[in-house]
Amino acid sequence: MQQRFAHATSRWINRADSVARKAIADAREKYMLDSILGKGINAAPGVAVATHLAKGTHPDPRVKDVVNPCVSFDALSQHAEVGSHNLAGQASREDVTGNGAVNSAGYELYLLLECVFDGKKLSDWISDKDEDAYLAFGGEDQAYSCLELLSNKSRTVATNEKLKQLYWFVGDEQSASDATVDAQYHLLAPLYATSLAHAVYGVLQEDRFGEANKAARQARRDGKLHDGPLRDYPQLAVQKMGGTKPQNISQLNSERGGNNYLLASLPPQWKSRDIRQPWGVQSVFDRMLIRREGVRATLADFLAFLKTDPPANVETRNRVDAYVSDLIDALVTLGGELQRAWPAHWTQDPRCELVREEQLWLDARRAEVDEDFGAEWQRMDWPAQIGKRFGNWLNTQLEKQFAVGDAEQREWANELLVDESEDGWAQNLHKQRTALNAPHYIPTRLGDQGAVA
Amino acid sequence: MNAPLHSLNGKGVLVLPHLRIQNANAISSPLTHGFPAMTAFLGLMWALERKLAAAEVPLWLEKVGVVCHWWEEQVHDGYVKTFRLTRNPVGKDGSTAAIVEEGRIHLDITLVFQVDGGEPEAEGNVLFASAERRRDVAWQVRELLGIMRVAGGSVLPPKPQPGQFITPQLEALDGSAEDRAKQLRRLRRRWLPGFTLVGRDELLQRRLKQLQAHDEGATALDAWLDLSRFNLHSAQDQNGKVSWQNDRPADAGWLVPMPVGYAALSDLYAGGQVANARDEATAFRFVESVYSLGEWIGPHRINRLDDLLWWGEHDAQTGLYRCRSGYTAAETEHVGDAPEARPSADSAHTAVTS
Repeated sequence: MQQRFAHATSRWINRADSVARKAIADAREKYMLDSILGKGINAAPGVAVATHLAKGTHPDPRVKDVVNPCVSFDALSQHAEVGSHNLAGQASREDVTGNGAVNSAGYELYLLLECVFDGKKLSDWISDKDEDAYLAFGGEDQAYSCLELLSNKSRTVATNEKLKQLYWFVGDEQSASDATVDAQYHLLAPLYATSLAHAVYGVLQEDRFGEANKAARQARRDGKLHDGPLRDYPQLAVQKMGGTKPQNISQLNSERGGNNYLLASLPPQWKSRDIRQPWGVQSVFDRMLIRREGVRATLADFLAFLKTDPPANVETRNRVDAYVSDLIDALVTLGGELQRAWPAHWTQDPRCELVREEQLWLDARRAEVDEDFGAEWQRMDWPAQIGKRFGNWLNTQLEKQFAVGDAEQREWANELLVDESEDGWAQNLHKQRTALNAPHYIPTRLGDQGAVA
Repeated sequence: MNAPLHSLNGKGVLVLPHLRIQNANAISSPLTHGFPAMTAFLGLMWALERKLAAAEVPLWLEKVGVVCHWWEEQVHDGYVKTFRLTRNPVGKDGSTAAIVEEGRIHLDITLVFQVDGGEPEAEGNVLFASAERRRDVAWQVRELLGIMRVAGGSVLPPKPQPGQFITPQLEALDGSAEDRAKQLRRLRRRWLPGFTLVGRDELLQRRLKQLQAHDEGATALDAWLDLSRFNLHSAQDQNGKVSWQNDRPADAGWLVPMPVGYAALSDLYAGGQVANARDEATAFRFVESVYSLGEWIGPHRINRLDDLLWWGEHDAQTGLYRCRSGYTAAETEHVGDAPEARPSADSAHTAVTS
């Protein structure tokens, strides 16, 4: 109680104006025992002590109408994954939810009942009919009124249609598992783990605004050595819960200011600014492909392997295939990124000195607006030309230890970047051109590659 | 319990490339945001299987993998991101509806399913049918999926892009290990550029042990948070220049915290015992999200199809509902996949992997 009072008054402590005096007076009144008991007892019927909130998903369901579990962290199964079970052994982690106006009063009473005296919580002393406990809580009747706070408020086992409910396929141990059989599902209702969220919030709030991290951040800015670590959460997001009235969700949500931190699970993504445009170069092979992650290393390994003069057998063949395959992967990735990252028609820029076939490969969309370019694109000579350039580049890199044949070049051309099935972009462009009555010629190679491939 | 199916006899792979999803759910759990939860893709797989059965398509879906080619989360950038909200309709009586913040993300993803076509010899096994028939079936599945929700988002009609294979593929997994390796090499090249999510549970356990060496009371939650952030330490070289290095595991690249399923909070109630449940017949349980770690890797890094696949498991004993990854970390260590660092609000943030 003293702690809560000290916390509540800490921001006013060095001020003497009337606002501060009133705030301290209010806090003093709030943290008087009689006040906690009185207000707490009034609040008790309308609020629930809980570890998991229905209101964390949607604010509508009332505590009397849905289950807000108050689980014992110690009794939960200890999974290897992260969850509320990680709070086992930690006291007073529960939240109070229900009527927003009195959640706070309920919470103060909850903290009081959680206080441990002689190894036992005060609430347990009352339950065990201890006379001294009755006395402390203002008599037997009032003590039991206090316990009302801890009772289960939901009148039935119920959820709400506004809360998330999902089907999980559990299969069947006796017969065959079959996802079309309704009986092989469980309906799961995930609830908001407010106690766990509060533990996470505490860490993140300290890491964002705490003195230790502030000092570390300053040291880094100043280029100075620093003892402690600097903690940073990439792409952190915050979700607001309860809008302007976080107290309507729960007391702990109110203490978090309605801020719920969310850690990012996003995959990496290139932005156009991450990739330098190849102005003034004739080819992306020497300037960009070679710099891709792992390309130099693969080339070095490949060359070293060839220099051992390996026997002409299946093993050698597979190994060579794997090296070449890795390099083609790098090439395809590079091409895909360039196509995606830069605005269409970028090769029209006068600074672009790429050879024509690389332009055709890397800026295909220009074919939609530039008629000559489009006609060349559709002539479909460029994939073979790119294949050839790749072969030449590889020959040079491998110090001519490895002769690239026509067959390989043709095969690589097929890997290069174009869906020639009837659903692909090439055919679509072809159709557009037909509609426009523009001259066109496009060979279809469906037959050679297999329709699905 | 859905035991993972290890026999590949009569199995196949179904690829639905470059699905453009609009407004998928970006709040994947109470503690994570960004890419939708893998559990959403499991749910999609089960729902799709029911649609296939109704349409008499003889395919059974066993595992699912996701390759993400592009994303655009609907957020306001800042030191912390906040969600761009949509204005929601008012209630029936004209009152304003409660604001429930929802996160949204647009995605371009490829879905990969491990499928079962039934008895390998049976005539009806579509995996061994002609290329035309397989393509037709694959398109049929693509069309069925087109009217479903994917992680709460809608699927836009296929739109061909230069250099992208948008044609769905259905093929049997090749027999010998060598043939399968070749097949995978061919398949995965079409998933470039992109990243696929794989499970890295072992890194969480390893970090937990490291933390417990200093602090007995450290929990998986501490280890998880420790790996969800950059802990940058300063060091000085002989010239007096200070640099900041992080302590991310050397054998991991783009590591992310992620929800991996649900843990029971209550007993399992029989159907009809819980008021306002979505149906009266299905057994019901209150649960919470549980978390672990995943890593986004380039599809060209995977050596077995199973590496990128996920499936559902249920442990009746402990009440755990879990999506499992088939990934086994490669023995050769590679540090960091393509991009140099996870982007950070802190622009000077480059001391990641190099």
